[in-house]
Amino acid sequence: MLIETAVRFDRLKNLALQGANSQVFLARDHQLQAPVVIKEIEKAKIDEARYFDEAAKLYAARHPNVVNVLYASSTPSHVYIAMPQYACSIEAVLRERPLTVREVVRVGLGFLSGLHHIHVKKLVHFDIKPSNVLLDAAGNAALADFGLCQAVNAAGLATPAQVYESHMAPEYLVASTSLSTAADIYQAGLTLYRMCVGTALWQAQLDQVIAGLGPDRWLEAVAHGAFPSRDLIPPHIPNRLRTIILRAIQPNPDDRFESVMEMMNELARVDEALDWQFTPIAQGFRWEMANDEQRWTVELKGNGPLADIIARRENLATGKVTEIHSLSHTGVKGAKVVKYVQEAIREFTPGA
Amino acid sequence: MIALGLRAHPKHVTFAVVTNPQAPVLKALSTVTLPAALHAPEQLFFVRTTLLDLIREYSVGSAVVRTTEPMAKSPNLMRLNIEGVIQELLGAGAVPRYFAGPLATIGRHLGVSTKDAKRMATGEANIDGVDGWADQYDNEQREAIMAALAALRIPRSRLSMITATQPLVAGPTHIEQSALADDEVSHAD
Repeated sequence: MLIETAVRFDRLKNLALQGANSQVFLARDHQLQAPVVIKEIEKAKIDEARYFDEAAKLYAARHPNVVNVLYASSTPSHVYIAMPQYACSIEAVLRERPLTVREVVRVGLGFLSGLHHIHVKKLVHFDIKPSNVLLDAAGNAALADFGLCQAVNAAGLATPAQVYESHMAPEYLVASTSLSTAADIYQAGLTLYRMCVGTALWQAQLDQVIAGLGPDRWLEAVAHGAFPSRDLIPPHIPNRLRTIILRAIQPNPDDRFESVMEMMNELARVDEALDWQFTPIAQGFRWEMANDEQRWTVELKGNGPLADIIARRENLATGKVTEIHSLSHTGVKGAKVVKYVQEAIREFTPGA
Repeated sequence: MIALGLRAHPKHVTFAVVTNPQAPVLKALSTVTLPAALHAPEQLFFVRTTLLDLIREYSVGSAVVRTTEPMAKSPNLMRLNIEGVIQELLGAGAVPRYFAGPLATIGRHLGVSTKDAKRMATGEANIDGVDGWADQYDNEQREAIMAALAALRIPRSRLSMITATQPLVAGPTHIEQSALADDEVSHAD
């Protein structure tokens, strides 16, 4: 016996940018009497047999680190997927500031747990990016948006219905549109990269490459591993984390981690420079860390073609700021810039 | 039937996945590393989630966690915490069959004496049918494999969690009491 029933909710406000065939908004559900997040998908843009594919995949992949689906329903023109309300996406945080290394590890392990689970379920997500990593009120990460998610065939391959250029895996450009879970590992590496650099530097780099090479040719830079620039990972990022990111975004899928679990085990070992806040400032960069008594800052500023590095320690009780001359340098160039910044950060990190 | 054996260390958990009780095959032997950047409560939460993922990934039907020896002179607190979280996970119904116990309990399931179980764990004694037992694995890996082999032999009915009940200070052992009790429970799966 089929029972058809009505679901009512009030549309309150749009949450994310409009997708190709979907819109995400905050709503108030009449039945549950609670706020919910609704994804509205236009039926006209998808096959009738696939109307509820996304909802079914989300439900099949239930996990603490995967966005929960509350229910799915439809009107003659649209499909609706109801999900719990999350605090924000990582992208929203990255627009304000890059994450500290400790935050990268915490959020990274969270969304990678969800991704590992998806892979165990023989699915490839195809759309891992900061705006699809959501944080709940406790700061736990959950992977969202299964709009591109596909089940793999017996050979472990799947073809995404569409791809977003800035996170396109190199093999999609040079080899085949049939991709394995290695494509997700590439996107996961790129997501960790973006957590380390923040949205401002990522966007500036993307705009610069596209402007320099043109909208068609810049993808060659992706295919050959020239974009994103491996050199732009900030100097405070410990080698272990740097190595994880570089391995995950290798142009050749065979050179990446074999599994998300392997990547997680490496990320779990990261234990240096955990609490430095990196921020781009006018004509340079700033690193800051504080405990109850002191605040340490390292500033890197352009000085014509050269760079100045200023290291300071502030006594938070007295407000007295001391410049540390042994760690400050003027008129530095080349590889010494990174070396001196790393030296100051290492010297300042308590217990180092 | 797929069985999981677990051995905790303050910084990681070694796990072994074995299958086929008649002629056991080692399907996986690896570790879950505790995130060094996180604080203890978050580390424990991570261990729980990740082990639950493992249980689902391999469709584990029975599991054994090798717990700290009841007579240990200086037990490690973090290891005990991890073992507690693993026991809670098993108790919450993550696998249909399980037990938690020290080497003596694991030895009983393998049909060997406590002394032999300890010699197997150190590699001084061999386990039938496992190549390179003494030199290819370290102590933790051997103990995880022994726990997994013991998990293969848990009787089919659903058992309540059985843990060592001895105090952690020196005193007479009551290993026999802590070993498999008969208080089976019949939860719906």
